[in-house]
Amino acid sequence: MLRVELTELRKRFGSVQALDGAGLEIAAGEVHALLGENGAGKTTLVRALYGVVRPDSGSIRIDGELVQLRGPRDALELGVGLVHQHFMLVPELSVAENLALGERGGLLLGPRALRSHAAGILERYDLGFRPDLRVGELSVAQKQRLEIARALSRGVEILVLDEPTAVLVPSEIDSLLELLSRLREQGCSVLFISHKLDEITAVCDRVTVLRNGRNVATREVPGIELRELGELMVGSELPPPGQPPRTQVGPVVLRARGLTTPPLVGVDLELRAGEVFAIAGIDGNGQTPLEEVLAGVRVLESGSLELVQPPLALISGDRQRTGLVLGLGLDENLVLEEAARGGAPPEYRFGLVRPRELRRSASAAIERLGIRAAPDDPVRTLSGGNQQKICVARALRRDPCALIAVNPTRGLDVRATAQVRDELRAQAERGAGLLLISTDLDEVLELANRIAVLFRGQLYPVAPAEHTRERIGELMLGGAAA
Amino acid sequence: MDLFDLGLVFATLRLAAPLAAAAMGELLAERSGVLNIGIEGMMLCGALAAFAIGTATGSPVLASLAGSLTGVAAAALFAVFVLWRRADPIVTGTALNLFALGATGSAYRLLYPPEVPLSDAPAVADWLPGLNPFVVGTALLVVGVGAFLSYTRAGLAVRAAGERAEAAHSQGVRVAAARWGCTLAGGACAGLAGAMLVLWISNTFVEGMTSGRGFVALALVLFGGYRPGRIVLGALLFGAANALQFRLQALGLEIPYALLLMTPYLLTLLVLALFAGRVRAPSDLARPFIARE
Ligand SMILES: Nc1ncnc2c1ncn2[C@@H]1O[C@H](COP(=O)(O)OP(=O)(O)OP(=O)(O)O)[C@@H](O)[C@H]1O
Ligand SMILES: [Mg+2]
Repeated sequence: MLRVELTELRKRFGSVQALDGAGLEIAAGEVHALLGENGAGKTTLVRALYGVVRPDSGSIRIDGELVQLRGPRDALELGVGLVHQHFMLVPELSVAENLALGERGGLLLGPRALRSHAAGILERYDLGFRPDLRVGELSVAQKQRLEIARALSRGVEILVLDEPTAVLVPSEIDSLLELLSRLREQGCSVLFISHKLDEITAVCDRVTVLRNGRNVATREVPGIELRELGELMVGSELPPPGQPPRTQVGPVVLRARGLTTPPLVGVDLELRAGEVFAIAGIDGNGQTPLEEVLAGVRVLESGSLELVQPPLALISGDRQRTGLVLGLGLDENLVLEEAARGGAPPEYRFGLVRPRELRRSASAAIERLGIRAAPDDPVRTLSGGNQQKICVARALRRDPCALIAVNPTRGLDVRATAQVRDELRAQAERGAGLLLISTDLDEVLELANRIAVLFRGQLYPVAPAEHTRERIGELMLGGAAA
Repeated sequence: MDLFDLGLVFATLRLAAPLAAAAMGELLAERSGVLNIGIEGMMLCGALAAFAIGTATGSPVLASLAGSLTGVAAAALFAVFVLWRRADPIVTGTALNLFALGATGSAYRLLYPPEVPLSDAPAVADWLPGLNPFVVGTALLVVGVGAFLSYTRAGLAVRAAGERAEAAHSQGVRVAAARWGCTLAGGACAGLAGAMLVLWISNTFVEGMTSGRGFVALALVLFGGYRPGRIVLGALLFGAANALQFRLQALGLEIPYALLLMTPYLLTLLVLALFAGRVRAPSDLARPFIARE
């Protein structure tokens, strides 16, 4: 039986045809994957199914009934739940309040009822945080798990997950995939968006590939080859995985001594010109504080930080919160940082913006990284992967001597990921020091000359002989601390 | 006459209650994400309506009701522009304030030519001085608004709509309904505050009689950190300072009159600014929300 049928959906945003006749069918008890390049229209498609986007034409059937969704309320009513690509949590409210938001129930909702309702959900989905914690204080991965738990706690039967694994670490991904198989056994239908092909082959029954808002193919997953999937997605052969750059290591560009701010304790690090130094680790072990310290927005309890060789550039780990000004255009976001720091970007003259130059450099960035947008599109309207590309483009603009990249390929499709990694390698080969803070082991192994693992606020160096998946994975779970 | 006595307490309550009521209206609107700077105008409309119905019926209850409903009507006008047409709330609110000032003044002069005596304005000032129904009503309003925001499902929806409208919407919260409801309820509070001015403080209508109280209410909400308790403390402080200032004037001290008039405003702002700490307004305050793309 078909739970969901989306047929011939079309949606235009201004000049962009986000959906151009896309469609999809999900059977009962099926885990269906949705695959496509950045900007292919995946998010738009699932937002139409959730009632947030109103398609210009096309039809949506749920359990065979033609439906007109007026909003998420209707979708939830019909048993459709969506975990958005970018969080739909209220950071100012507590975990418990976020869990109760929009739930039907009695008029009154005291603190005790809130807490016990939340405690039940947190327990059931094995989330180890307090219900009265403010959601703004959770790490990206924790927020993601909270969102998933919230959707499930609504008793949805058709669960849509928009790139849920982009911010999760391998062990969490495994348990999520397990959860998906469990849901399938219970008869739920799942629509799963991911750029990671191995995740798709691990649990999904069928996969639909989108390109430019149109269906390219729908295939049975068992028996399909990774290579074939990749080719369906990008329309050409996939680039092979890369190797760490081979360069001459130069002088120190960035030096930190005894950085201490909870949970970091006495972190020492030295970054040299021409090397890629990767800090691997599971999110929540101090990555965000470390990023904030290095960016200069967090006060240290003790320790010192010295930028020996400016300029420094940062690819932030949370593009929507600290990476971009969502209301400004792509072009403005590109120059914002440099202009605000009192630099003299070529797009400015006598403190005034030169619109033509601004447009030209934005177009260059669009070209270079294949961003699907116009130079003055507000960043808010860009697809997640395209937003990420802007963060990368901005950091590379100034030929930094020290480059800090936190999960730089989060949310990028296979091809864009390879491209960004090439760009980062090129930076090291040019002589920049690259500090890669990443929760993605593949990324670390593909880029790093030198590796350390961040665990509970402490840094454990990994000897070159131990640069293997297994050993680093072990260290990430605390293998060195024990 | 002494400087301090029980009369001063009553005067304080009388001067504080309308402010507190208006501030509760503003608080509701702002927590839902609507920056309602038309509070002053809504109070004025409420005041004139309370005066008209009061003189016509002689009933303070009906007069208060009329004040509230007129406040709701003025708020509905504001909401049509701001929530439906997505006009700028500052511009709309300013326009509403100017419009209300002019319209109530003209209407008052048209309806009540100067030669008509106004002796039959209903006064509630002489009811039991301590347990004035307005004092009780305002206290209930404050507790009610506080409890609504913190302890009800709808209150949670309102707060979420004010902080992150999009996130609230995606969980099935009716953001538009929350904002409309809070704006209208806020208008009722403002209208009631206007009625209090007429029925309790001046016993008549005077053009522009709110004299900036709507804006004081606005400031109280902000400096009170969006918390009902603190907002009421601010209102009481303002009331006390004002009552004292009237006393000092009556005692005929050699202090310039203008300086005395100014002190309550200054003092209230100063104290609140000192004790408020860092205030964070709702994140989506004054941001229009578009439910469907
Ligand atoms: N609200 C909007 N306003 C304008 N354009 C939009 C809006 N939402 C999406 N788009 C455009 O529609 C296209 C498809 O975007 P969508 O978010 O669906 O891509 P996606 O497949 O989810 O990509 P990603 O993998 O990067 O998340 C993009 O070019 C994007 O810029
Ligand atoms: Mg997307």
